[in-house]
Amino acid sequence: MTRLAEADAELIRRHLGREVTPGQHAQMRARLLEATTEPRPGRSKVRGALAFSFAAALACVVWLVVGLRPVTPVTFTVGASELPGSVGRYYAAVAPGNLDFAFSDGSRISVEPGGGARVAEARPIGATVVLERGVAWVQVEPRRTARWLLVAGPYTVEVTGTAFRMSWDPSASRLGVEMEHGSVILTGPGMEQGVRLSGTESFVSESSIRLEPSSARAGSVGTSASAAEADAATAAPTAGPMEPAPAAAPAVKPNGTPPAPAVSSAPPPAPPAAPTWRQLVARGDYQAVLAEADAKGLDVVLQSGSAAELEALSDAARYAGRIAAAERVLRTMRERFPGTASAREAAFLLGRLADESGNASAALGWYERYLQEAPADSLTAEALGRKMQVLQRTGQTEQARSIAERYLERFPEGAYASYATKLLSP
Amino acid sequence: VSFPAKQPVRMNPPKGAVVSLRARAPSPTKDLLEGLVARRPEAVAELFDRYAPAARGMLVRMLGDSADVDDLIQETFLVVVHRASVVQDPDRLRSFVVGVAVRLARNALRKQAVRRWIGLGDVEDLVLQDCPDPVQQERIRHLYRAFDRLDASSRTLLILRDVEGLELTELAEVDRCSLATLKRRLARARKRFAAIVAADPVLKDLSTEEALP
Repeated sequence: MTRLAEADAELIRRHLGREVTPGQHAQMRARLLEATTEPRPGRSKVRGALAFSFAAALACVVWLVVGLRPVTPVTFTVGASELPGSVGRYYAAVAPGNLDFAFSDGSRISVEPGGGARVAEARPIGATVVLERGVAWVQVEPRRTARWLLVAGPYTVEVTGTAFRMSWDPSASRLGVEMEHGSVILTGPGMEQGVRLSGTESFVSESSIRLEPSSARAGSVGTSASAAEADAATAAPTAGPMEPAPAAAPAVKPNGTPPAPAVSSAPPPAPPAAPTWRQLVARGDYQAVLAEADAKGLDVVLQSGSAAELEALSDAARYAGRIAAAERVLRTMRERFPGTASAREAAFLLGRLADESGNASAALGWYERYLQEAPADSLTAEALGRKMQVLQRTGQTEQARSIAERYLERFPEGAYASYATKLLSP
Repeated sequence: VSFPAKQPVRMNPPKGAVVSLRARAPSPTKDLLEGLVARRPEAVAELFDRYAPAARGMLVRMLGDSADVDDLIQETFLVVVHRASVVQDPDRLRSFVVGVAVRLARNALRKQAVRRWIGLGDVEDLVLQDCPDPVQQERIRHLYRAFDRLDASSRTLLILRDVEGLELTELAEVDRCSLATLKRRLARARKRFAAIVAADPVLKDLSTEEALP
């Protein structure tokens, strides 16, 4: 059984509380006095209020049960034998027939032989399906609030109620979408704002993931008929989706649909509504942050990550006990963002890490560096106090006493004031 | 690195900022109790002056700070004034105030939990006073994240016992149960807390603070 340590209890007592000014206190007291002198509601009023409350509570319960009842996510079966499908599992379509995903809401996705897909997420009113490769026929039952997402590489197709054919060739980074009816919104590199496809329009991307001059087109949008014409004329990109496309195919937009914007060395967009690393750390999911960083490669992240990402990553590494990684991230922050508050605070935390691992000289170095860089900052008192402790602990009593004097001069009410006073007492 | 110092932090708290119910005020007199029953303004004012600062601090620590604390304080003292006649012994007045505040805090915590469950509320970040050290900040935040995973009753019991320092007999009085029942409840709360803390990387070791020389 765990009892809260006195140090933790003291930490809470010291830093969690709310002081009010005498004026605020007097104001609240006046409110109380006013309220206590008001006549209390009569018995009949109380009964009426109780009856009303009971009715309201009953209505809330009904509302909660009926309206907010936790709805189970859509389920699905796979293949002709209708085996129960499992979320996250990869299914490959093996000849001769198509691989059918049949969802409980009536939606169907049929993957042609040679392709593969997985249901990444099942929601009460929709799902996210990743087409890993190949061609899929998609038929989503129209529902007002349904949210279906088809993901292929960096592209996402948001579906409401519609039917279309979708293909994805990961080796060529080539996406094809051919509408049958309804509409979808397509996002991806160069199309971050989304491109709507409707009617019988079609879309095929070029090899947009490759680094190309920014004048190159990400893809093209057109009708099936015009695509056929374009096919004949230019070996056009809207031919069979799995067929290779010329690298610089012309845009086809006979129906006036604006072409997809130019591309595209831009990195693939984050998956829809993916939590940031900071959000993951706030949720306590440190391993998810570390796994993402590992998947991208720590070196890549350190070179290209933003200051906020590196801050979150160093937090995750420290919390998960990957001290070496945390140190590396903090050092990188100092190198990449010199002179910033983040870099200064990284110095303080490097001192703390060194201090906790017993490396007194490194800790002293980092605290000193922080104090030089931030002689009057939010952590100055803390750094000075901790430096004093390390010096005392390592037998450098004279230096510790000197710091204690400095500390008391600057922070007579500080958290280390009593430590410093005892240190200076004969 | 998480530097919640960007949040509002009071840099210069008044001296003696830590107001705990462990610091007992002199016992209230019988006159005070009689004054409360009679709703005499001077008695109500004395009650508020005597117990409000400590009750406020306790509520903030139980709830992890909340915009509702001022309302809860008002509600607590309104209930105490209206029900003062049930307090027979002036020495029991303090426990009575604490008991009312705790019950209101538990209700508030349950409401918070329901709001979060139906997606109407989010976990509010703590507002810490004079805590520039990010390591300490994150420790407190992790402690409260662990508290958030406890039920309202266990959470308030642990905080009253370990943070506010209430005696077991007083806790039993606040919780309106026997000492044996209270001990069982406390043990159960500690067991739950231990399981939560064990999975938290920041809370695995309990204190890294050094003893004074």
